[in-house]
Amino acid sequence: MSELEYLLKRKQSIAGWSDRQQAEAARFADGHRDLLPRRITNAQLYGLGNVVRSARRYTDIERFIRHQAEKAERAGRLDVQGYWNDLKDALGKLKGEAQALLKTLPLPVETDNREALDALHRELAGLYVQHLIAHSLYQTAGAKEN
Amino acid sequence: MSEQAVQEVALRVALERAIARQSDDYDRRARQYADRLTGTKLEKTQVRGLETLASTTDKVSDITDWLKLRVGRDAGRDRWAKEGIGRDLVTELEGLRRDAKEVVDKLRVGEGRVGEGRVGEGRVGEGRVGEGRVGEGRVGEGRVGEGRVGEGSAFTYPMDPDLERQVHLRLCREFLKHLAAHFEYLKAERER
Repeated sequence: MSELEYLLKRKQSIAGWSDRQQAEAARFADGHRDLLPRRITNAQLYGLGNVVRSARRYTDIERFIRHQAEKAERAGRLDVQGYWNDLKDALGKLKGEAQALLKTLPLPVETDNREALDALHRELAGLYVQHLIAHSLYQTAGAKEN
Repeated sequence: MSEQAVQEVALRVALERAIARQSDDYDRRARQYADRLTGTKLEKTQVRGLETLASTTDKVSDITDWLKLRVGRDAGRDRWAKEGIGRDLVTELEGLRRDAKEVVDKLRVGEGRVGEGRVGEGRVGEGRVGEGRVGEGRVGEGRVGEGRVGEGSAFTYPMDPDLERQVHLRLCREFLKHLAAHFEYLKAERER
């Protein structure tokens, strides 16, 4: 497989994955709707989006989420702590999804497998968070309308 | 040209025809949305922005996420959130998945087999698919793409499992293309 073929196939696989995963991210937002938008604010969600977009390693994302959970715990907001812990688990599980996707994409020679996996994991986390933020804001607006 | 290459071209032609047919069906509904949108404070650039996004992204979820964000951010409820227009549009676009499934299902009739033969054993044009004959002769001799999809189409090679999603994206683009065109026209009419 040439590099161009690989890149095209990768792009298409990720697009398909993202479209399938949108419902799952929406379920996560729906499952925590009671925390939106006062306990988990839009600003926090945008902050998460920024971190995910700019992270150079997946551990940067994990560190941010853990920090949010710890802050909530110190403030005695256990429900908010639960939200961040649940999100850490949800995004952590995407590593398995990234591994499964990588299996379908024969990497070009001289590619560092670990680096490729981490990059894909970050990319999937970014897409999941994009869906999560969009649906959370959408849901919050709906609650206000009602 | 190999038989598989011919099949791929035939699939593409049939697909384009099916999408074009769906697109024509969407025109009236898209105009209704455009009419509702002219009653909001939305500017042409915002609706055009949605159309541009749809035509450049490779994900349906990018389009619906974009709309959801706009609805969520419209605190004044005078743009995408006005009278549920953005929500209705999200539902409409997500609902186009059914049309995409229908288009692909019709193309899939006979996928992997033609008539009663197995892949590579039967010739296109020899077997019956559903109620229609496959083409009207051999591939290349028959009139590929002239019949209605599903009535005269069959593909002996497995289709891309991602096809339904890609057709869904194409249908979203078609719908939004009509919507943006009608919106600009109606907006100009109102401002005249």
